[in-house]
Amino acid sequence: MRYSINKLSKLSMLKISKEEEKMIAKKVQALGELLEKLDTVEPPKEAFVLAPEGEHKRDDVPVQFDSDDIIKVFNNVKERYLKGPKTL
Amino acid sequence: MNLEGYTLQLILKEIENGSLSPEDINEFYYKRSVDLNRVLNAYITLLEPEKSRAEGDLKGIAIAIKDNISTKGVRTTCASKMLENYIPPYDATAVSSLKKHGGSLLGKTNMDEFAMGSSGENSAFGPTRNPLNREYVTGGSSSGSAAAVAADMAPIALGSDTGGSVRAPASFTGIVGFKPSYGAISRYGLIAYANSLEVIGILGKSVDDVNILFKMIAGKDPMDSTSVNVELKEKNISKPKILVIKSFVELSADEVKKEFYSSIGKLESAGFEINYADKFSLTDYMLSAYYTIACAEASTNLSRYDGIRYGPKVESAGNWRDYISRARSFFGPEVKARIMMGTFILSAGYYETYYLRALQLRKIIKQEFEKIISNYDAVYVPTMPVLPWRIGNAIEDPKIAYAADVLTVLPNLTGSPAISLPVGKVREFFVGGQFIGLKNEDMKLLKVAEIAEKVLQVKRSGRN
Amino acid sequence: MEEIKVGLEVHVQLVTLRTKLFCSCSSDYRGKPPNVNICPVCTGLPGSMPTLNRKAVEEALKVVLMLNAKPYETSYFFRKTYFYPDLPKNFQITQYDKAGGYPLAHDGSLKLSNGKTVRIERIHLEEDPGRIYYEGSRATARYSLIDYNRSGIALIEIVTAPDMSSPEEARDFVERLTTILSDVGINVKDYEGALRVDVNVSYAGGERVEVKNVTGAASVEKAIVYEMFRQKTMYEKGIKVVRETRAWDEKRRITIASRGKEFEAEYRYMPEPDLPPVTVTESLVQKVKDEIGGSQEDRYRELINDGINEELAKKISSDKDLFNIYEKIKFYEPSLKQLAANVLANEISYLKKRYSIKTLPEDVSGLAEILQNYRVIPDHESVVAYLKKWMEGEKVKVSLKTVSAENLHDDIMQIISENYDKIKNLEYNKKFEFLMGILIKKFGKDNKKILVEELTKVLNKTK
Repeated sequence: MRYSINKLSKLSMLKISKEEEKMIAKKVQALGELLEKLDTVEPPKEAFVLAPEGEHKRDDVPVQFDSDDIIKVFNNVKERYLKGPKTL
Repeated sequence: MNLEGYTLQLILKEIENGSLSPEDINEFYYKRSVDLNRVLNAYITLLEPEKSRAEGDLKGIAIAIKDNISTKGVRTTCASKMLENYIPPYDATAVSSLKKHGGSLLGKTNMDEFAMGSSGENSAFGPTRNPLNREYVTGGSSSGSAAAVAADMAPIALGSDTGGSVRAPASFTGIVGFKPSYGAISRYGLIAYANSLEVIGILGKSVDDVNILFKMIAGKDPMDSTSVNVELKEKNISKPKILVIKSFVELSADEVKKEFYSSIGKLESAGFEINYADKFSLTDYMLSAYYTIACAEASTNLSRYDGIRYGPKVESAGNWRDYISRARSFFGPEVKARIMMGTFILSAGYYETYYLRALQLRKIIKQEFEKIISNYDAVYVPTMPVLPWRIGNAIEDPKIAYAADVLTVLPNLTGSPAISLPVGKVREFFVGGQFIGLKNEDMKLLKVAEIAEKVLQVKRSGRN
Repeated sequence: MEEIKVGLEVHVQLVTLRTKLFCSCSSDYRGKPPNVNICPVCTGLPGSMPTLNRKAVEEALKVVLMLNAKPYETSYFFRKTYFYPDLPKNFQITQYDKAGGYPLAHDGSLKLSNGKTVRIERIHLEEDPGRIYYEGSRATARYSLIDYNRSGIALIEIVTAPDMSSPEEARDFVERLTTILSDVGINVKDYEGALRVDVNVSYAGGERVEVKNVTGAASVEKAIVYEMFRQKTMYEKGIKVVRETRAWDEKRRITIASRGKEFEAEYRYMPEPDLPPVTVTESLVQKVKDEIGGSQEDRYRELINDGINEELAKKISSDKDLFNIYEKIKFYEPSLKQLAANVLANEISYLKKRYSIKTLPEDVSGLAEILQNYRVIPDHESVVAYLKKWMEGEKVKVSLKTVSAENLHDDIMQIISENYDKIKNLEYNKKFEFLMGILIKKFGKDNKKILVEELTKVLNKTK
């Protein structure tokens, strides 16, 4: 199966440069071969989820994280807002 | 003062009896790291030693941490241009546990970008070189952690293991690499690549070293809903009962096989009960199941990297979608390939074809393995099917690196604990042998490995 | 008029929670500066992991039970991937009902005021994204301002079947749902933006159009009115209505085509590997039932404190509807509460059953009118008639019997003949008192003046 690097990169929101395109295509092809081995496997009768075991719930008690520490991580800040690109 | 060959255990003893101070120790490793890092490229970030007091179980010793484990105030890059300047505002739970026990931070080690790789060559900061022979790979993805321990640039190190990323470099550099049971060590703060497969692991010079650190950082964490409490009491085993899966061994190169079988002979003579199984039914599909699940999870885990909150700053020309795509161009080619493959696997029409089948395989593999292991103390197979290759050799054919995982992915699929230790020697390299145990029976596995290590006595240069 | 089909996806913030769905940040963000209730988890920092708020499941189950939906014993969280600056991980943790996934609950219902039942297909938990703001006009702004205080807030999503056929029905649904939510303490009216609706409208069997993020019952109605008009116009012109997602412009009262995030049809759902499944056991359901019912004790106590007798208090406290009315009357006119309790427990209860009246009117002014004039309503039958009228949602005006002199004359004569034996030997004043008693009972104290006049006339004549 041929994988469309163009289509997949768009869906994955990835910009691929001309230089790396060939190398990436090779890797995708190799991964694809591993994937396609699954074609010969019997599919499960119905879809299921293999979730982690156990039950782990948290109490509804507020804990304050130092929000200033997070703002320090942000690239662009204006008056405590994160500055981001304009969306339509 | 020369601490080459010193184990962590020995260092702690010497601090306790006053022969060494934490300052001296940390100073030694720091200087040696500064020196050797130029060539080996084991560290991405090295920290100058702080004034340490001999407190807690770790008595102020500085530890090397793989650069995908969050360290508060210290740059954590995942060996990627995407996080080149990212400084986490919090410590991973494993790191704060180490600090609680009196440990400190030596530096952040090099790795394959976002833990995707088996050789240590996929780093945006250059490959890590094998201390045993600098032209060769260290194995990955915890390449820097392994090189640091092997070259005495660190007393012990934390790594992560998604498909073999602690055991492979341990095998290739001739040290001990321990992958605990899934959930035994909190993943909170481990920058995710494949959540259902990965664990934080430990690389050290001996099984005892790894045991010491494991007990300090294992335990259920309220911040990680998948973490569990595994029994930490030492186990006693007089005559370890081992199962060797022949089909696994047959996947290895001749020189690996020879050393591996030779090690079996030694173990048997020392009283190990060795049994053989011809094959493990789904051997052929393990890699496929692993890569399918890993790529799918990776593609969503890495969606958050869009340059908006943190990451490379991109000029805002064009619309917001362009902005995001351009920011995400900072990933390396291996990461991009796996993200795209993951996107493909999860897209409409393919989910049933690949992802569900991989889940099904995983379920069966788990059940089968649990059945097998119930009669034995451990399964014993080689860690890597080959010896280290030359840096750059695998570039032309990506399949080489993917195939190198074939012997290590099983414990990640099943959640079992596994440990690699040097069991033989070929030229300047070592052959790694891997013990795999029953999930949550980590202490039993460590005991088996400890006994094997004493029996096999594969000496690296230096003292125990 | 061709038929329209309306289905709703209602997103409700679980405002009774103190923390977010997957982290311990405070959920109290309104009126706070931007980015104060944030942590590595709700800002999606590398290495962060979600942890489920146990109370969120319980609060969600309250709504599930109130809507007669059935909880699944095991449900899962899924990742829904789409890129947008208000979504820190670029995926939302939600629940999915395909690919092996199960939502929290399924198959519930809500009865509208007009008696129609709207089916509720599923109810599930998910996290809210952050908020995006613009300085000045959106068109001229060069960047966005993002606030993650709301990111990670617990939402419950209620998805209906396309059972509604008019803007009014949709509005009614939202209003009834709001009441039900407040019955379990989720007072969405007190929190701006706590209830948002995605409205799905299709006209004449055509494509379904989704209008996202409409706030408030009134706006839901308006949005459907506009969409109906827009789709009808296209239909009549022979233009095919395209399946799309639109946004609601509150100011201009129109729906507009929305580009951007809604573009992606593909969400690439995948199970969330960091969260174990949600298990809802029998005992948890019972615990939640008790909590909902536990307010019955509160209601009973309040009635007793008000001086209502035990029997009445028991009856009223067991029915939320009855109690609501009691509260409203009490607020309206406190002096009526005793009578209200009586009437609620007896006549109204009976009528509810007898005529299968599921919900009592919001507006209690008609009932208050009946209660205020209770003593002058001549007979019990009339009282019941008035009550039934009110309960069926009709306007009630208690008309006091029209008393005119000539009618009255005949009535008085009749009363005298009926009671002749009793009064024949009474002297005048006693006779007068006795007859006045009967007359006032029959015609009401308000008519005393004319009653006195006429009775005097009649008695003097027959003297």
